[in-house]
Amino acid sequence: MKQLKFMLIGVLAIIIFVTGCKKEDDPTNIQQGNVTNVQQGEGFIKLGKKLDNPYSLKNMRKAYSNLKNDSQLKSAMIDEDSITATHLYVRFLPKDSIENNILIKDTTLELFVYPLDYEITETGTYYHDPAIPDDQPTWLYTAVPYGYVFPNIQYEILDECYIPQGNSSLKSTNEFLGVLEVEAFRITGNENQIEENNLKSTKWGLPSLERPTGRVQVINNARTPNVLQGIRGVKVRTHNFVKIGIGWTDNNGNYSVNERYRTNVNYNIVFENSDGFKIWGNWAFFSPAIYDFGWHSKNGRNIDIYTNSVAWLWSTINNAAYDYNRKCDALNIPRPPSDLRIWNMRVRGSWAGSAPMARHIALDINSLMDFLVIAYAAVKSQGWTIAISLCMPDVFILHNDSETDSRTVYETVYHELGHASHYQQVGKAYWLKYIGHIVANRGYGNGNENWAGYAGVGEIWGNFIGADCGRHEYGGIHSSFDYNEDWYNPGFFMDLHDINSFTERELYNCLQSDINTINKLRDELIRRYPADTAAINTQFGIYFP
Amino acid sequence: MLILNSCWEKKYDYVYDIWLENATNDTITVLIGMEKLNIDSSPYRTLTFNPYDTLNGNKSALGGLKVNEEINVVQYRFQKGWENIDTVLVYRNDTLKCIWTAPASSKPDSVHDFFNYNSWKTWMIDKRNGVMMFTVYPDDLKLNN
Repeated sequence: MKQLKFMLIGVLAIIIFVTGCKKEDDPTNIQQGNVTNVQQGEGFIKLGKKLDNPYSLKNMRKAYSNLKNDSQLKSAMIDEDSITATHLYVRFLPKDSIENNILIKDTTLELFVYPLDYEITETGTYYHDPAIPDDQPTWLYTAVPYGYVFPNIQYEILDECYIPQGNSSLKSTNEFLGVLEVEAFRITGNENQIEENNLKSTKWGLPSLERPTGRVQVINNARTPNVLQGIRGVKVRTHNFVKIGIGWTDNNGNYSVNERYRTNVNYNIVFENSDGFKIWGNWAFFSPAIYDFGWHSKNGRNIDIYTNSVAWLWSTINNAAYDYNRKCDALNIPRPPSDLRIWNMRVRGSWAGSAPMARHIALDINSLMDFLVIAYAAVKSQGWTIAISLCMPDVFILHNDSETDSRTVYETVYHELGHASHYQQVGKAYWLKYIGHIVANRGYGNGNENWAGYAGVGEIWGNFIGADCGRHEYGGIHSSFDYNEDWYNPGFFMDLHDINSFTERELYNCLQSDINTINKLRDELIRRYPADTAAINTQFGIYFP
Repeated sequence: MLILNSCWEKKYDYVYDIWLENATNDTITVLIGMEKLNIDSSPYRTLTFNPYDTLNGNKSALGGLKVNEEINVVQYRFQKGWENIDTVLVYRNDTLKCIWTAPASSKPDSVHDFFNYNSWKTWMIDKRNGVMMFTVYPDDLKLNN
């Protein structure tokens, strides 16, 4: 209950600051949409009893022993000596954000926050070992190939495992391995995970070996009529005990994992993208957001995500970021850093976003918290500080539960990733002043402060490219684009583009690291495009008289 | 108390789309300009629209307006954003039919004028999104008939 207590305290703090003392029933309270769909796996994972791992070397050898006197199997039998450990079932305990990041960045590891040999009585999106303080990293579980070279991080080997691969050139050998696997499930009391209705007429009536394939989609309500679109480039992960497979979705959300199973498997969408960016969810500070869509057939599982699911926002952010990268390619502007971390949180109140690029500029956690607290006062606590330090997000998307409008999400993501593209050209020193200005002024100030120009130039670009990408995707400038917003008037770039035919790339070219005031931005435009001096001055005169 | 009044990329509490409506049965052209549309000055916007047509903020390129509280959004736009707009001309078939000039102010409802705050209508579409709209009526085209 300790972890729940921590979270409830966090939620209470959020409520006090964000909603002005409105009651929120549950941190994972899901807004009901107009279409109902799966809502499983939206909260804290609840574990049941510990299960006996059929893939443990001990159980596999026992299964072999049971089978070795079966005369029918004699011809297919493999040598007993070949039943040796192929994998290690392990868990890591990173002591801090540095170690946590080492593990997360290791693309050979498929990390689970919960143990793989426990019954899951309630699927969810987050878990924290009750024995670990809530503000410390929790155990991370996985299976690694035998011989894996461990990083210098605390770990524990839980089991030596034998995972039959079934890829022998001899059909009979593969079938024997199948029989062995089924026997191991039987003797460990896990035979209920074998699909009896999917038996194929192999020599021994073996359940077939299948590769999970399917499609994951999310509703896009910015289209008329609303359409289900593939969740693009995300990882779909399957496992049964320590047998783990992954696949990446294509543009249509289709996936096919790299492992085959004879049993039911558990399915996750892991919100890390084949483009390299990762999306962090509300409470899962220790790894990217994970949506567990439960135990299903080994043949694959399709899932459609609607606005009533916590995964709707993650999926929509994912697709917007994925699309933004392709718009960058089309517009010939740099993509954001490929390993971007996007932190999303549902809060009561308004939408908000920001791109502090915290991990990329190695922002110290205290500065990041000063920045974050401007938007979200409830994070001013030690627990949040430690938790956020584990992720060090580059981009924040705060989301109001009551709004589930795809276009708003897309435009917010486009805007923030537009900043990240700007960062690619100007670098860390520029960004520190940009953030410093916002922190010092608790906002954008009035345009006259020392570093106001950093924010002014950035916001002209961010607002312009966000609305412009939204127009490319959905047609038309959204009403949320205000030509005269605040003191930086992003209509300056919009009109240079729309009226004076400047391309996005031409405008982006002017966002150099020394262009830190709006006057310098005008001068840089004129220096690069002298033939358009009159037009530039006219637009500048309109927006900055 | 979400402390977001002027920072981050805030999504404001209210977003108004700015519409222009043609309530006449003529095709009209509206020029919105500064510096009294001197010969050297290009209009800020030149908008041609069909009879009974309505241009939203996208079609008119007047965009939207974002505010955080329930204020007079028309007055706010003229004071922040359109403070340099001083002339609006309405043409029918290349003939100037109407001239409205700054300053913007609150005048009686009976005075229909682009620069009269009270000549604009505002309403909410839902709890967050609204519209502020100015309409050109047949009576506005009576100048130089």
